[in-house]
This record gives sequence, structure tokens and C-alpha cells, in this order.
Amino acid sequence: MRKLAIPQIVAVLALVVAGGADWRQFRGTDNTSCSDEAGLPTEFSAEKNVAWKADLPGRGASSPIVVGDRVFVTASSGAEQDRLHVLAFSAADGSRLWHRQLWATGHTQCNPFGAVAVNTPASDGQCVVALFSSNDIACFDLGGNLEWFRGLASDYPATRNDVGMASSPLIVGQVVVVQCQNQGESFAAGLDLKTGLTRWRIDRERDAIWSSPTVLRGPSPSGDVVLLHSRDALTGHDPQSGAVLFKYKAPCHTVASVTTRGNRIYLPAEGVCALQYDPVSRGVEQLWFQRSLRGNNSSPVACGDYVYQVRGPAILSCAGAVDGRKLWDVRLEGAVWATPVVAGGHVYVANHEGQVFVVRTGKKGELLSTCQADRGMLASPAVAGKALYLRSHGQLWKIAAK
Amino acid sequence: MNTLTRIAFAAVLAALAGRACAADLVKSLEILRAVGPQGAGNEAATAAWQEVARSDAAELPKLLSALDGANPLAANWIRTAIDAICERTLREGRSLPQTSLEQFVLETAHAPKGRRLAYEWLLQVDAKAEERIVPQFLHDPSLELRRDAVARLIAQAESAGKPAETADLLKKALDAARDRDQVDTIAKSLKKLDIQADLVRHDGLVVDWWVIGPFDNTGGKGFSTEYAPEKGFDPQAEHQGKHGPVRWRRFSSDSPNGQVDLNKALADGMEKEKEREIVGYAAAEFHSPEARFVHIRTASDNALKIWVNGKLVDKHEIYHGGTVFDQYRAAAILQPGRNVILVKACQNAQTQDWAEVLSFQFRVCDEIGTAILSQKKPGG
Repeated sequence: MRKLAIPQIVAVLALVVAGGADWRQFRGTDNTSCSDEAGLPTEFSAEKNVAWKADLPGRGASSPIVVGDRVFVTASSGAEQDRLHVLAFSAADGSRLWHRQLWATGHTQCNPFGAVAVNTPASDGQCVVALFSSNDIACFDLGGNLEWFRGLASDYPATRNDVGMASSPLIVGQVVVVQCQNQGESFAAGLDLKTGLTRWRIDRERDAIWSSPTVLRGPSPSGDVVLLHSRDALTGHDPQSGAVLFKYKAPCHTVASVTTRGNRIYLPAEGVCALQYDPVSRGVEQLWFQRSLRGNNSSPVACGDYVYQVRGPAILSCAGAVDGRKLWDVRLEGAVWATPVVAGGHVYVANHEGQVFVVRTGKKGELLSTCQADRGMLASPAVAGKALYLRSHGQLWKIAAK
Repeated sequence: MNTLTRIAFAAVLAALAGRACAADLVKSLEILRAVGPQGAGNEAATAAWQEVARSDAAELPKLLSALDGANPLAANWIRTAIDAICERTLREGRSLPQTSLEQFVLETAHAPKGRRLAYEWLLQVDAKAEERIVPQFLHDPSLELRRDAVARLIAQAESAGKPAETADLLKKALDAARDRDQVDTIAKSLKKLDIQADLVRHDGLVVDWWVIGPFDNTGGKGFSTEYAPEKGFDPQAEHQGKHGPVRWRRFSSDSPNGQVDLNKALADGMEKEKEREIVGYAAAEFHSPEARFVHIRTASDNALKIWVNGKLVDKHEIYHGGTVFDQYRAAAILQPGRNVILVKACQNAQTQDWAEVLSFQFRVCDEIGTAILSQKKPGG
């Protein structure tokens, strides 16, 4: 890695200090979809609380991520969706700071509803790793300098899914974990964050899975566990080696991802199954199972005392995090694909039509407002710096109180 | 030192520095071009990328030329550096070398992707370039440049007043179009004028086949089982199928998109309609006037294997994962005269209605999708 000049070191330190407010990967830095931010607007419209909008050069179902004062997003364009874009915007004013493009080296066929930019990028606070459905993966520093690039399709040409490979990368320490699980050559791998070289690779079942790897934070970084699931089991892995630490058999969802909160794991499995992870024995045991939280394609969210899951096309359900007892449903509209986010006692749910529902949470749920953003919203929102970031196929929006 | 001497000395130093910089740039580009699979060369490339990205915009033609023949991984290292240079130059309020960019775009010997990249940066500093040069791209080897020219013709057709003029423009556009969405748009517009576009011919879809089957695919084992048709094509031969002896028979697809429906073609040999867990074979004779590289492009919701003259050129053990035109692309070599193409399509045990399909679409084309037709019809 290149040497940093003093101003760059200061900038990096500032970003590290600001890290608590970052939203660094899919469903947040710890994949929880839960933010400590307070003061987000509970309503917005064209005239109110839309800080800025920025046009995007292509489609995307990938979520934005926020690192310090920068927002990063990916997009894909072209007749065959083979133009891959990585963009950085100023969080302050939405100006485009840099834009890099790549040519896809792997398969770009995907559901026309979606995009090749379907995987959310990830950051460790110093670089941004962008993975695409074509199995192309690139790492840029925050200034847009290319650190490394891999075309995983050139290494594993039979790895493909013709409706798209949606799993997002996960950064744990100095390892980038990718789950390329499909009917062809199926694997998970840990790539070195600094070089992109493969540290480990393990075979996975030959079955189409769109879920993303999730981190369960240990008491120290050496205790972190990577969670992967197949159609029939959840497995915990050592991020350094990929070694299996535990296996829990369950009929898992193939699209939604696992969520954690502390040592609890919330597994989408024909309902939500809550597991307790024991960092000493490195095993899990079931706490409860709530069938009525059987969700659509979005992932469960665990925040504070509650667990949330979008069911059917658009019903937000809530249960107690400790006992799984069902508490309430709030009926929404349209078709929801994106995983909701929770911040400041409110759940934000975006549907495909670009409506954003703000639901006050607690022992009862209440729909506070329905706001209209851009249509074509498949991405889960990001939360950072008292702002909500929304991404549609065509635009990136910052929602913040003025 | 007098002033003249100083100037001369400075010029020599500048020339030497320039040579040193040029040498560094060439070396850095060599490092980027050397990256390979499994991240090979990545560590050296990181530093080389910084060196390349620091280049002045005047070096763009040299950098763009480095894309010629670069492997797809290396091409991405180089293009991101070019993007960084252009972005920085424009941000500093300077311009890009318009003349050399345009010259690069128009030289079709350069890599299509590099030319497109040059074109897009040219448009950033010369908005009129589009109007001036796009019409020249109608039969360009760069699909992206060609697409713009085809789009222009489609737009002209839409605004043309007379049906004959519209039809003429659409036919020209269809002749040049290679992207599926544009081909479909043009065919739809022609249909409104009561003109049926022959897309089977336009795309080079192979619709005349010999078929045989069904063979057994219980438990998915048929995909890797070498049944008799794989050992050589003899249209007179009889083989043991899943339910008894089976023979080759002719089958021609009448589907407008060239779909070869094996549920229909092999129905007589099935125990029940749209039987699951079976294998079907289709063979075609393809006549080429010369030895040449071709693209074999297929689409299927079933597991597939494809042989050309007995050589396996493509295989995909994927069932019902979704399909689109040109889903699979493989390179093959045709020999002069008769070539035998063999397709093996496998059906699995899935019982859903949407998993009943057993079919494929097959075409022969060049690397940009231009149809290559057999020089002789079957039996001709």
C-alpha cells in the first residue's frame, strides 16, 4: 500500500474518529440495520428535509455506504449491464467527488428488475470494496485510487447465477469475505483486504443463495465470527481461515440474510429463529422460534428490545427480542424488497415504488408518515450523521432535517 | 552560463526527465498488463497504477493504446487510471487532447473498449463530436459505438414522415443492430408497417436438427453419463434410450425465436407428456467454406453440453435458473466443409409448472454477434 502524506493521515484519523457514525457495509457496519443516530426526520417531501439528490449513471439495488464525510454507491449500465460504476459523493452537498468505471469480466445476466450493481460495497474506513453480480471485485482508497482488482469469474468461470449474484461482501478485520454460492462452482472466500489475494476458499453447496455473509462481533476482533447460510444450515466460520466453528441445521431463507445483536443471532428460517452464541464453546443454541415472522425477501432487523421483519408484500411485524412474542403488525403498501432500518425509535421501510414509511416503534407500532422518494427502490437505506440515504435505480437522496 | 546555454541545458534536462518519465510509464503499463488470474501481479500493480494515474493527459493516446490486446483484468487497471487522469485534468480546469482522442476513436484497429472510452472522454470536452462522428459507427466493430449509430437511425425512423422512408431506415438499422433490445425494438416497429423481420436469419439461429431421446437423467446422473450419441453422430443408428430403443429423427423449429422444443421433438418416446429426469440430444450439420473461429451462443433453462466436431466446447449444469438470449457464449473452431454440432439438454426432477420446459436456442456468430450461416441446408 502506498505511503500516506501527513494531511492524508490526518484525514484518515478524522474518519476513524468519526467511525462511530459511519454506515460501512450492507445493513450497517455490524450488519444490524440498527443505528444509534437520533434526530432523523420522520417526514420528508420535495420541499421538506431533502438535503440533496444526485443522479446516478446506472441502475442498482446496492445500498449506499457512508464513511466519514463521503457516501459511496455502485451502479451498472450498458446494453448488457456490463459497465460497472463506483462513485463517491460529498455527504455535505451531494457533489460527485470521483467516479470510476470497470468493465465486467464475468456474467452480467440478471433479473431485469434488478441490476449487476446489486451487492452493497463495504469499507473498513480507509478503503471501499465494491463487488458486483459479475463477480468482479475492486478495492479503492477513499480518494478513488485503485488498490486492487479481481475478476473472480476468470478464476471460477462456472460461478454464475442467471438472475444475479446478490451477496454483499463483508469486511472483518483485514479479510473481505465473499459468498459466491450458486448452481455452478460454489464457494465462499476470504480475500486479503490489502492485496485482494485469496487467504482462504471453501466449497459451498451447489445451490442458488442470494444471502450475504454477516459478522457476529466477538469480545475482541479475534473472536469475530462470520455467519453464512445455505438452504439447510447456518454455519459459523473463523474469518481468518474460513474454518467451520459450528453448524446449525434449519430450513434457511435463500435471499434474506442473518442478523445479529450482541451474541444473539436472528436467522430467517420459515419464520425467525433466535439463537444464542456462546463465545467460549463457539456453539449456538436455540432461544425461540417465531413462525409468524416468516418474511419476504428482506432480512430481519434486531434493535433494542425488538425484532422486526417485513412479511408478505408489505406488512411490518414486530416481536420481542428476548422471547420472540409477536407484538404488532403495521400494514404498509406496495412491494418491499429492501431491509428496513431502525433509528431514533423509528423504523424506516422503503418500497419498490419509492414510498418510505416511517413507523414509530415500541410496544405498539404506529405509521407516522408516508413519504415519496424516487421510484425503483430495491436498496436498503443507510443511516449516518443524522441523515437517511436512499438509493433508487436512478438517484441517491440524502434526507436530513433542515 | 549565458542565457542561451541555460535554456539549452534546461531543454536537455527536460528531455532526459521526459525520457525517464516515459520509461517509468512504459514500465508501469507493462506491470498493469501483466496482472492475471488469482490476483497475480496485484501487489506490483497497486504502485504501478499510482504511477500511471499521475500521468499528464497528453499521455492518453499511449495509455489508451495499452488497452489493445490487454487481458480483461489488466484492462480494468488501465481504464481506472485513465478515468482518474481525465477527471483530475478537467477538475483542474484544463482540457483533454481532443484531436488525438478523436483520432484514436476513429482508428478501428484499436481495442473497441478503448475506443469507446476515448469517445466518452472526448464528449466531455467536445459536445459536438457526437453529431459529427456517430453516423460513422453504423458497422463499427465496437458494439457500444455501433449501438449509438443504430439508436440514431431508430430515432430518425420514428420521426420520418413516409412509411417507405421509415421502413428503409429501420431495415438499415436492423442490418447493423446486434444488441437484443435494439433488434427487438426494430422488429416491433417493422411489424407495425406489416413487415416481418426474419430474426432467425438475422441472428443465425440454427433451427434444423436431428434429435434423439429420451435417455435417463434420474438423480441428475445423465449429465455426466456418456450416452451413445456422444460417441459419434450416425443418423441411421439406433440406441438404447430410457424406455427402449430410440432413433434419430429430423426436427425443425418453427418458433420465431428459434427455440428447439425437445418436449415436442421427443414426445413420442416419453412415458408421459413433458417427462422429467430425461436427456435429449440434438445434432446439426453446419457447413463452413473455410476454417474459422466462431462464437457458439446458446440459451436454455436446462443443463447443457455442446460439442463441435466431437470436441466439448461448453457445458452448464444449471437447471431452471432463468434464461436470456445469448445466455452462454463459447468459442469454437469450424473446419472447412461439414461440421457436426451436438447439443445435450437435460431435464431434472423439479415438478413446478415453470420447470417443465426442455428446450434450447442455438446460434453461430462472430465475436460481436453477427450471424454466421451454414452454407448448405440440411439434406441439400
